[in-house]
Amino acid sequence: MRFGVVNYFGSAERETPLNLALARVLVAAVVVWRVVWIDWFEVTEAPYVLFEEYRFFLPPDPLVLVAEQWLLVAALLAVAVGYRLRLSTFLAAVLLGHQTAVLFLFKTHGPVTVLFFFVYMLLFMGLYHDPDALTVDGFRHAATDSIDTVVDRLKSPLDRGYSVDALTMPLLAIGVVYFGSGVDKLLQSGLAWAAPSNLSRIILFRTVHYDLPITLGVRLLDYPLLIAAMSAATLAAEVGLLVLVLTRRSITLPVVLLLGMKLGTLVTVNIIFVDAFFVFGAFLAWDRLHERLASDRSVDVVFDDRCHFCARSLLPFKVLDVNDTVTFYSQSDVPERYRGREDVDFGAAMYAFVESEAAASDSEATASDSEATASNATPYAGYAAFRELVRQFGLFRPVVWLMDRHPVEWVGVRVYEYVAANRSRHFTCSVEPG
Amino acid sequence: MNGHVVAFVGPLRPYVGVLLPLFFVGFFVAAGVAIYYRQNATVRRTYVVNFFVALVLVNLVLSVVVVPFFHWHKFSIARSAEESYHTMRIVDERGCEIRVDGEVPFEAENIALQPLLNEMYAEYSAEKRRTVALYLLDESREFRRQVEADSPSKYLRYPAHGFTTWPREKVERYDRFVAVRVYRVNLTTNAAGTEVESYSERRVDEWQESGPAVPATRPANCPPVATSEVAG
Repeated sequence: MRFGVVNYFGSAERETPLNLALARVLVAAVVVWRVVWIDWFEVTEAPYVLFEEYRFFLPPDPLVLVAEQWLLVAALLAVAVGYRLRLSTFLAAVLLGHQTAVLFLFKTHGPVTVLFFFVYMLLFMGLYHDPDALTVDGFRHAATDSIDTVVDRLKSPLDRGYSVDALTMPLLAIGVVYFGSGVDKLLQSGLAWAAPSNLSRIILFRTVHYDLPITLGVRLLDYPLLIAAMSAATLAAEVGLLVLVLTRRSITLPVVLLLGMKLGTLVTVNIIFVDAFFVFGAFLAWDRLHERLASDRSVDVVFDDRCHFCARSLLPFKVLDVNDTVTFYSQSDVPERYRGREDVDFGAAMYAFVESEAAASDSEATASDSEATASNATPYAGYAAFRELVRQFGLFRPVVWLMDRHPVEWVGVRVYEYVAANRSRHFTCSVEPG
Repeated sequence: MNGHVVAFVGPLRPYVGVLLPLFFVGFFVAAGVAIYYRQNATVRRTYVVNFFVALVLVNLVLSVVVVPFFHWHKFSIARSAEESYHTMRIVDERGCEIRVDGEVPFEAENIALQPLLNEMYAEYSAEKRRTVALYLLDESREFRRQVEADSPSKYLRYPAHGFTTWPREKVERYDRFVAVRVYRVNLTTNAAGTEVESYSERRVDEWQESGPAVPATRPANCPPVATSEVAG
């Protein structure tokens, strides 16, 4: 179970939809960060375009681009949380496609064209959208299921198998782009491209013309073998990525080499293509890291099985619980060990009973007794119960840290209390027990 | 006009103005149809196959960007020992020069300077070259204001493609920017590509908005154009 770059072409399914969810958040965050800083009035002031044949992309008024820009931000927020994904991914792709096309009129470098790659990612996310439990769509979709079905899903083992086509296609696409990059070098220059003189001249050119803050490049000129090795590694990684993707082998090495190449350009010619780190970040095995960081402590959750909304809210935790450490109980079948405790009121809130890891190993030894005897597990109610559920998954420690901050906690507690108090009025609760 | 796409379409050249917008719109219409009917496996497969055919064509056969399909054919041609190219500098009132850096952000976005210079001397009229040069002068003044203001907001911005070559302490040594110059540079490197064997530059253009003429030669106490000071 290694944490590396996933060759989705070689793996038909994953145990959770976590990688896809994080890829959505990553793409949305990066594109929002990028586009909010574009001053379209300034950009369109330029008295030239590099491609007259694409001048039609320019709208008559830059206000159109500004409106697109903020509509794009809204669409990307919807993509990040998985809300109406077919529509939001398509809308975001169209808007980003046009914004990128306009930028391309003025600049042609990688940080612009990479945005077209994010357009592809968005379109494939829409094309292969399946409303899973880590999307708002999944939450809305589950509203059509009976409460019995939802409760049953919480209490039964999950059939874990999530399609990864939405990530397979973009991986193939970036493989084709890098393959084209490597092949073009070979077609244009042959193996002379990897000769030390080529990269040396690129470094020398930059050094002659620019005040470079990092001057490692010029010192490397004394080591032609190292320069040749860097060039050869670049060619091998660019061509090899697609080959390894298609032959269903590990692609961690070529990706590490490609990212190493980006760091190499940073220290030699002081150009950084930070976008490549975000592109490949979308293909990391986050689910493997999630599995490794998940806590071993045992958590018992007691929820209101007459409340459809409450039960659906717990489905993401069920999906994320790959180590089977969380057990869900409805209020009608609360284990004996939690009944009669003075510090809990099952009618008022959802509870998470958390055993420390040490206590968990002790109780394993006396498993047969634990049903009958009172538990020493610490009860957490309402908002705190949700926080403990999130804490169970180490990958989300930053979220727990946020939930612990006073303003977030203050809001969170009040939102929970409002939902709990009004769940029969506003949140599609069932009055019939399951 | 940049010749890439036009050369590719050849006999279709008269229709480029219609075909390229149609292709761009068609791409997204096809994507929209495929997403709407995504549960139909034939529709989905047809879209995916056509997408990859177009991507492979752009990347491996045509070697031209047909928006929204792109390629990263960067630095593909091995550098030769002898190179000749244009370079652009901003000039202050004393006649001191600073290179216009294509990587520095102008209001958060970058100007790709080298493709622009190529275009300027391949396609533009003298009048249009002047317009573009004076625009870059104005942008450089604005960028200088940003460098000197050194606002913390720069840390919130998306990372630039390259480090700025206009550090604050350097920029502060210049007087008011008043003119733009373009030079034609001839650079020869040794066989190993590790040393400059010869460097020469010839001024091909100078533009100034108004005011007294800028001194034709650089004074001795100017900041270096670049650290290695090969230029000038």
